[in-house]
Amino acid sequence: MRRTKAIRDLGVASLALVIFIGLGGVGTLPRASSEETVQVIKAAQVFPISGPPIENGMVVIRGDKIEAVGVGLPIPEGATVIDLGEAILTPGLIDARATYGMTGGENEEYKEVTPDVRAADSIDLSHPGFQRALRAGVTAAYVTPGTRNVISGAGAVCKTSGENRWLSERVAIQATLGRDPTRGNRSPRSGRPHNFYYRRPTNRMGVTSIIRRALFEAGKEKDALGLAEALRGEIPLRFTARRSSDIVSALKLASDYGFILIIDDAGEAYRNASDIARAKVSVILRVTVDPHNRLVAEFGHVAVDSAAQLHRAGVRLALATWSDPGTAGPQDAAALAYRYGLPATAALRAVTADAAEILGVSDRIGTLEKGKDADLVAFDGDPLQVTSRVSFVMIDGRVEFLSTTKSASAGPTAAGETYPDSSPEPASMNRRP
Amino acid sequence: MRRQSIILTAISGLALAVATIHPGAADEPPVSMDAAAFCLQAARIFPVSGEPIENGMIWIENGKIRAIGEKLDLPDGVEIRNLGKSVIMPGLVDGHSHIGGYLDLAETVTATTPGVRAADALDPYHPSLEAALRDGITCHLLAPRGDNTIAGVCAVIKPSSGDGGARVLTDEAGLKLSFSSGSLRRDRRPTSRAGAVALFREKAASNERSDELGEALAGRWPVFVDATSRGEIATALRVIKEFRLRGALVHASWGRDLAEEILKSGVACVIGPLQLTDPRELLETAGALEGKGVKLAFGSDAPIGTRDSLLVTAALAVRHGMSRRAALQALTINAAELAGVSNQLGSLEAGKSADLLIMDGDPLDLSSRVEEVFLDGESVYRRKKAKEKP
Repeated sequence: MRRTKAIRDLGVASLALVIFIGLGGVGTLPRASSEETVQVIKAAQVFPISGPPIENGMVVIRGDKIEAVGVGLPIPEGATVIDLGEAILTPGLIDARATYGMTGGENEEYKEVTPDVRAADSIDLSHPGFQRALRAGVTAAYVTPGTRNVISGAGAVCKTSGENRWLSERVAIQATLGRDPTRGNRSPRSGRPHNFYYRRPTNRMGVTSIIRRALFEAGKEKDALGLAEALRGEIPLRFTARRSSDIVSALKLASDYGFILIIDDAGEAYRNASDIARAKVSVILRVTVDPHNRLVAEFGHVAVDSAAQLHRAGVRLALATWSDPGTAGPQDAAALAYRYGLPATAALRAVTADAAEILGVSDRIGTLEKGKDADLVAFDGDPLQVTSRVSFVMIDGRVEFLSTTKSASAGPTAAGETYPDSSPEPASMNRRP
Repeated sequence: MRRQSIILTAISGLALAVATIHPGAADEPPVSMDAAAFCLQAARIFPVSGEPIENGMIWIENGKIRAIGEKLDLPDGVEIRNLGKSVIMPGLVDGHSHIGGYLDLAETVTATTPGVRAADALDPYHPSLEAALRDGITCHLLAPRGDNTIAGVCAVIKPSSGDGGARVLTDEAGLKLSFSSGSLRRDRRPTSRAGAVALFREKAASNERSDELGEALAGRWPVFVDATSRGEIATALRVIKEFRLRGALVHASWGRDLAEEILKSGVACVIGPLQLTDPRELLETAGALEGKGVKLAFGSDAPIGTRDSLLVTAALAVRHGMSRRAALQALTINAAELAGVSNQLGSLEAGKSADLLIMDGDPLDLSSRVEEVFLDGESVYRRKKAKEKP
């Protein structure tokens, strides 16, 4: 059979479709299997991230991989064509710090140093957070143990939907500086400690000293799980560090012990931007919607233009919100950072290609290039505008989400004009499956 | 009372003490079958190992099934007891139970206790064993509770048919593991499920690994892994795959949507106890797993489940998609296979123990009652009827 089936119309003005809504992961669209089905996705603008935007571009997908990206490419025989109309097509977004997915406890608290614990061992792939992330345009997420342990274990990257969800089961080992690991610990003032929470650390100095000791001992023992590998540079150590003093501690530890350092959260990192850049350390910046929250001293003085400052200093950056993506996900992080001075290209890179590089999965995802996984997202407007919504998500060549709702127009609206009825996705967004 | 014909007894160790079975308020003293050989005839027999037999006969001799069929060639002197419209099926095998030892079946000071044995916690005279017998359960897979990551060694027990207490058929039926939330605590390791896996890995890799864990890792012993939620099942399957374990998931309550993954792992599932008020997804799990080809047994999790948990679980499972055939197998032979005693019991076949139930209707109909229970050829329970014909 040689018919190309044209699937029509997802224009901004009218999102009328002849196809059904794909809700909750598996659409009733002609679904690409991971055999050699060929699909062509067309959109008014294609942002490969690895190169400049392409007007009226197209992405050719064979099976679960991207075969070609460009404009005016020949359409292979038998290909299914999906024309997204006025949409903007980008690589799937990456949530560099998911707060969902891991169940059964985020920290193994019997000890403060547990590098051999793996988030992958207790990730529930059916967790509804993955579905909410999918609808927010996230196609891959880094799921990690928590911050209550000084060294809590290894995080993993998995896709938010599809058949082959795992990208990497051990991406980085998570450590935390500051006061988070002191929570729950007590010092015995009198009487005998009756559980294992009577232990160090109870303050910031204790936390750093425990890391130092753990690294010191890992260097000596041949079979200390995880940390010895980190010292050999085989797996990065990802430090949650917010205050400037913690970031300085992290940089010093990295310099003393020679491991690959990634800084997570990095609230006050802008104060140390040049040191971070000089040390070639990557940062996964927490972009918060409320930077002036003074109630939480632990967060320090966060600057709204933190991302812009780090970028100007030459730091490689990813962005995360540490929030449920249904509320505020990578798209919102990029939009906020852009609003406060991060250049548009850098903002988009920070939730796609650069996030993939920092997570060590850039051979598979992060850009629209030949040979990479067919993970794509389309927005009904400029992705860096918070009014733009996700209209299409594809993972491994399968359409996982397709929206028929009319969106709020990307253009300005006159005062008094009512917004088109953008009825959101049904309540299923928050329903437990 | 019917007059019994006394036949020469061939004592082979069977205690034929009728009086030792304490009748409950609603029960009659069981019929004394002093006969070493007799035959039961009933409108319908479910051997489970084959198709149901209409108007069939079972010939029992010396505690075992000698033959079963539509028509049997019986020698003289073998008394035939016609049970009329009754239904005969194998005695139920409870695939997962803490009966007779619940409080003693968790040694939680440390989460890895591979050397503790369920058989050591059993109170052989516990009244719940007899109560379970009256509900048709003639064999139990007794397991340590899922409070520990490596919880201990399971046993297979049979209630007593005479003076003695319940007896242990084997005290090494497999290793109980748990990745359910009940195994996580705040006062000892592990506090998290990821930590539980790290603990298991540590023990598996250790030079001082216990023999019991070694047997399980070598595949000589099955493992019975507690896992309820989807995340717990996913974790259990990861461990099973990583260490090439064989055996069964216990409960697998939210496993409906993980049926494919469970099938791939090669393990069976011991489902139950199910209740009428359970969410739809739980009730549909058995049917979904059967549909994929996963082998299923039922477990009551006694005393957590109610007394008639096994039959209620089976009925609910059938109501929500499981086939009747698979449900009957899950109640009997499949559980016996998981317990490693299927050569002795679990189906009505020549050579197996005469452990069977007489019911007054379809076993999967909740209005049917257990009328009589035979254990090793002994009638050990008979339900009191309002009136009995002489």
